[in-house]
Amino acid sequence: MATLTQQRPTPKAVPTNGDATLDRIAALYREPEWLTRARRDALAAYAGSALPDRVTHLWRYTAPEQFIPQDGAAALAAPSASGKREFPSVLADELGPESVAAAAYIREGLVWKTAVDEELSRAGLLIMDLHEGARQKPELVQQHLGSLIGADFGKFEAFTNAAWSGGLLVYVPRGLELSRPVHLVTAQPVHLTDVAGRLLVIVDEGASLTLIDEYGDGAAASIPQRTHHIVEAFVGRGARFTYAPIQNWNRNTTSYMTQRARLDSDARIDVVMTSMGGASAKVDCGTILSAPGGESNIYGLAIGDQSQRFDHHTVHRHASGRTRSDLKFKVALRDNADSVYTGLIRIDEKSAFCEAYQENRNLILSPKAKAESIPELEILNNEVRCSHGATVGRIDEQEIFYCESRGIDRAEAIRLIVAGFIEPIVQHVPDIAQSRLRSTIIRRLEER
Amino acid sequence: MPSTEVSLGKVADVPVGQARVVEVAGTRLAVCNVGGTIHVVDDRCTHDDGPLGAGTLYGHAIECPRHGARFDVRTGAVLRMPAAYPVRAYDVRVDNGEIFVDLGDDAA
Amino acid sequence: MTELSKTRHVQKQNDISVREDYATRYGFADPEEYFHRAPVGLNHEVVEMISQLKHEPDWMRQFRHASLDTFLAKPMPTWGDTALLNSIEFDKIRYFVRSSEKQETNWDDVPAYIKKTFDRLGIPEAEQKFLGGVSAQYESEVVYHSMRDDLTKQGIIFKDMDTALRENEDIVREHFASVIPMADNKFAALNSAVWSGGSFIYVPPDTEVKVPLQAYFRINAKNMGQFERTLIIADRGARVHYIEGCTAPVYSTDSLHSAVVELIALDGAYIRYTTIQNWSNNVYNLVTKRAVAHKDSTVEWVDANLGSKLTMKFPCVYLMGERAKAEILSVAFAGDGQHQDAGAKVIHAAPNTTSRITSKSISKGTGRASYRGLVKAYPNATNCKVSVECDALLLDESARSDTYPTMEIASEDVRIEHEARVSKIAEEQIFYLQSRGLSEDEARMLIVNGFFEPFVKQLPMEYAVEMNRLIELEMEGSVG
Repeated sequence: MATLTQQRPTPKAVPTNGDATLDRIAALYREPEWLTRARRDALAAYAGSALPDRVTHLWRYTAPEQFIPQDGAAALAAPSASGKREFPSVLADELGPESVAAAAYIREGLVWKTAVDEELSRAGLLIMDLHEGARQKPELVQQHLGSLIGADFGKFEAFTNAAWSGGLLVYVPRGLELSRPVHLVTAQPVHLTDVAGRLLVIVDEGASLTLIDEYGDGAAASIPQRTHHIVEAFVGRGARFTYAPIQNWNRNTTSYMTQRARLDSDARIDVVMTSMGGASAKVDCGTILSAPGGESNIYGLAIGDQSQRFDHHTVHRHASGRTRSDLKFKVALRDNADSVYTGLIRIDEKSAFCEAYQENRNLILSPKAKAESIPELEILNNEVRCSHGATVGRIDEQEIFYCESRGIDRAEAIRLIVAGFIEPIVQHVPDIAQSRLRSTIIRRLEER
Repeated sequence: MPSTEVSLGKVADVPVGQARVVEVAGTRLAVCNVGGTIHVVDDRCTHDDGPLGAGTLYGHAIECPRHGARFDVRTGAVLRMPAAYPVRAYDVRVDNGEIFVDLGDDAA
Repeated sequence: MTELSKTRHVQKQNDISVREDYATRYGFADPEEYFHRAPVGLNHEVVEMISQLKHEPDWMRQFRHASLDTFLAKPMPTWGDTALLNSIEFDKIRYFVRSSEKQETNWDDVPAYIKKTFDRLGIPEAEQKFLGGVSAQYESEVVYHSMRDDLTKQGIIFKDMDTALRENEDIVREHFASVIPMADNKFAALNSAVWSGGSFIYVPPDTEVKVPLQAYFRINAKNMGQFERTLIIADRGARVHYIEGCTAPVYSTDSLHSAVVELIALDGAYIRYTTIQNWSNNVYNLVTKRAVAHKDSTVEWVDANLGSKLTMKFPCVYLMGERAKAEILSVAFAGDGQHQDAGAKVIHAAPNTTSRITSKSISKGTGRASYRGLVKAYPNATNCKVSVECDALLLDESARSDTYPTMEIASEDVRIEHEARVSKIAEEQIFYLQSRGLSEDEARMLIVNGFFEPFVKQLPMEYAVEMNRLIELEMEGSVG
């Protein structure tokens, strides 16, 4: 496997706000004019927009102030460029036996290292720094970047559109069906207070891609940090995309992530997202089914303990008839953790013959944990089959009693029941990450 | 002084018959002066989790400005709908014109 | 924002209390004269006149004035059908009309679709004239009075609100606005300022009201006003069922209806409140309904929304005592141009409480039916069980259905279940019935009847019969 170690120039510490920052980014990365222009517009949009109001469910339970990036923070700073750039062991261990098609490591706001299987690289598979992609493949990047999540999406998305660095482009050419996953890891920043990054995924007609996208690696940091990420995915006609984001930032991190996928005709996306880290994490994840035959399945798992706060919003927007969506979001909370889940299914006026299902299950494992569930439906076409369900509760004593009566002690019984609760979601995680994730989650939820 | 006790400023800073909001240790508190006596409750109406301290004091009752819920600032007890659950009230100690409360175990 | 809304905002929030002396501030003239001139718009003079005309105790007068200030200071809601809400012209509305002065509508002015419905439902002529606003009085006064005598013997108080305020001031004062304070929301504040009519019911301990109140006298002029205020108190162990409205459409020239209903069920009591709302298609119907249920009590809201241009109504139960129960059954029919924005709210604030919410809606033509619900459980709501079921049928392509349920759960010992389904009538079902000899229309009719059946079977017989006939009419599309 050829490893392309890209040595990007390392920018010095610059403030996150202001045109000066953008000028420096533009110069350092030799950005095309159109990209710098888009950043400037985004910065203006960010500066010119008010904080979201607290009335809509989207922001009712989460204070927007916590996501405001720090002024004049030491951003985009990185340790000296000298010294070898290595992959973390989780990636190195997969690259060795070639159990992944490609890997990329993002660190301190830089694309630290990428590696792509030689043969697949020749077949046109691209895993590259987004700046590099913008220069080499402008026709690909320019038409897609920011078209799903642009500066007008929201205040914080405008910020990320302006200030992102260490962006990644993943492109799978027409007809290329990958049998091995692509694995991305974004490290916990160590020196930065704010990190803004983005991922652009394009799966061309008839292609298929499985992508594991990990954020945070357990590294400790003494300073409070904010992470801002945008993920845009375009799934072409008849193509298939399996996306597994795993969020495990440290307990000093406030994270904000917006993700959107757009499906072409007969395209399919399966998202399996896991949220485990951060002091406070807000996610907005959705699919726009814009052509007939599209199918979107979103599976989510949020695991909270201590005083963690999760705010997840999902959207399935049926902008075309004859599309199908399914969503299962499960939450398990200990201690004083708090979770808000708001999910919208929207069937547009002209979208006939759609099916949409949604399920949110909240398992409360401690007396002070709290869950809010707001599954919403907006149905404007009558040729539809749509339903949703939500439950909130703790473990049924009957189930524990059943286990105990079979010689299983209480602690083990709870462990089994919790494992059973998360399993329907975890089983959708790509194989190479599945058992690692399963044991991490069960350990987190164990009684202490 | 217990380790979780904090100072909320001076009694003189809170006019009689009014409430002031003080943020300390990540918690917002409504400091109320009822006829010279200081009472302290969480600055959070249990009806809609919005701020309470901007409300009006009627004797020992604080009325939330948004929907008219009322709480007894001495005990946190509900006095009027649409509140249904008491707001947290703190033990107050005044020493030399300075207000102290014990935040207790978990604050947030 | 109309001019009216801007005028009084200078009054600080702090000043809103019952200490103001509004009489000297605003003066007064002869209220009879005042309303003979029938002014439009809302201001302190109008409020003062209403109170003077009713010879109210001073505390109610002050309450009205303070409520008006609250109404003016509050912003319009930013949720819900804001397009329709913001089209309300507050300064063009008449907020009070004396019933004796009430202009009688010309029979010719009553909309054709309403007259047709009367005929099809077989409404007697006298009732027709009343419902059409043509006659201000209904001749069944005699029947009404004799029923009242029976109740009085049991110690039950059943009066219109104005009379109760005069004759039973103490008990009214104790509970009025205790469930829905004036500041609760903008439209509750409006009602609090200009309310007139509505019912006051008090049922003494361990007394059962054997027939549904209103059953003998379905039509009561005082209960069809714009700003009714109803207060029902069921003392310990009492049982009462109250019904308001009727399935026949009610033609109202008043475009804004904003009622407030407060229910108090003391320990072990039972209250069922049934509403069938069928206002004409020009009406904005914005209602606040809330109950407080104490230990071992049960409150049931049975709510049908058939008419109006826009209805916003979310019957609510606060379960404040152990083992209290709530049941809310809501059905909505949204025809062309209508928006039924209905739902249910339950607040669990005590242990061992249960609640069940069932919402059924049908949207036809360009109709829109929304379900907006809240299930909230406080940390002390241990061992609480909640089930919510929403079913929506969309009959036509342009019809719309929304579901916006919110669950805020801060107790671990709970079982909360929520389920919602949206679909059109299943083709297979129609085909099956057709293969059994029914026409397509008959098949649809049968399915829709089945859809509403859980609601209809909760109604007293004559309402149920009328309800079924009305559904038939709506489905035929010959109405509205």
